[in-house]
Amino acid sequence: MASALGFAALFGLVTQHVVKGASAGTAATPSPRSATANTVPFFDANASGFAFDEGSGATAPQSAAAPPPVAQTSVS
Amino acid sequence: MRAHRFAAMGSEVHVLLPSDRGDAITHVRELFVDWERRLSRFLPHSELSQLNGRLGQPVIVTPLLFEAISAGVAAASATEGMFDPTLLPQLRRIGYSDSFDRMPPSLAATDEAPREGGDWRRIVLDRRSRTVLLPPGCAIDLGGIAKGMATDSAIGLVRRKGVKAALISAGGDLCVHGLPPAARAWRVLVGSDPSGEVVPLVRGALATSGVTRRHWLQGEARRHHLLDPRTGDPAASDLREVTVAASTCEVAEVAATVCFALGARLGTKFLTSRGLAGRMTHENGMTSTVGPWPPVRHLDAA
Repeated sequence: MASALGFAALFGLVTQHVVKGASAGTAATPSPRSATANTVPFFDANASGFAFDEGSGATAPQSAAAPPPVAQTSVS
Repeated sequence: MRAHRFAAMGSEVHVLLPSDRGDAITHVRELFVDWERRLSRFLPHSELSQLNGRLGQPVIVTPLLFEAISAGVAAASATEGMFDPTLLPQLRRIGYSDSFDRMPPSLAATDEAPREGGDWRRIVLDRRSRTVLLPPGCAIDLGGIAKGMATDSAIGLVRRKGVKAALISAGGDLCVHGLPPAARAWRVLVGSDPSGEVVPLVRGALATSGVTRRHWLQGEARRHHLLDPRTGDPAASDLREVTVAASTCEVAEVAATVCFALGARLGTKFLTSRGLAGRMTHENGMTSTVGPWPPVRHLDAA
């Protein structure tokens, strides 16, 4: 059993080495990839997910005709 | 609605929940405390600090840290480096080495020359093995983007808990879910000016970046925490404050930070090209808006 596990571990190491060796000179297999190759969209999927109430508009906080704000954004 | 407040991630967190769902605040507080414990650069034993101390070798990290770094790198890539999560050495150079609340108001001058950003380009991320390799000289500060992501995550959490309406605001990042009872929108005061504008937010998030709070003296030099990655120095912006509306705090935070560093003219182009809305307070106190930001109605004059 122990020798079988040892062989499996050794096989794994050899396999890993081969994969790394094969990919080292191959631009088509970029994993692990560098940060510059990151293609995850950041803005595209999120551009329209916010909305304001078009009927009320922005107001001054001291406006007598409007209810007070419930929160403030603060500043980071 | 009932208001709850607690301190986390260097900010006061303000949460509005339905009066009968006060139980959800426990989950929100636990989330923020957990994120701070793992992602703060100010805690020497945080997972981020540990990673920053292991340069030049792949390190297996937790899913949370991997996703936060991935988001920071994606934001940097999407902004051509104008958002940069690897400016920690530059922040330390200008004296921002501790939580702002613990910093003295003035620091000794430094002889160290500024260095431009861009180290994020040399980070190696491997999603399959969930490893991060930081190159020598690189150090990550997730600051604002982590707080934005935590706010988004907290809103998602209360939604999954069955809460019908909630607002969470954490030091410049604000996100809403649902609507308050009998209201068409959440009325949110924007920025640091108590006599500023109140906007009716129906859905999405707002983030405000500015230098009205975090600034200090280093020798004779006035410093603030919003750096320009092109120089590594505090951004010489013609803006005092920027608020951006987006679907998430994560995106709004990045856009507000970039817009501030770019200044009014290029910042307007940046927001417009990405379909975002924003409000800028210029150095002279004048304000301008970008995209579908709501127009001001002068109710008292009506």
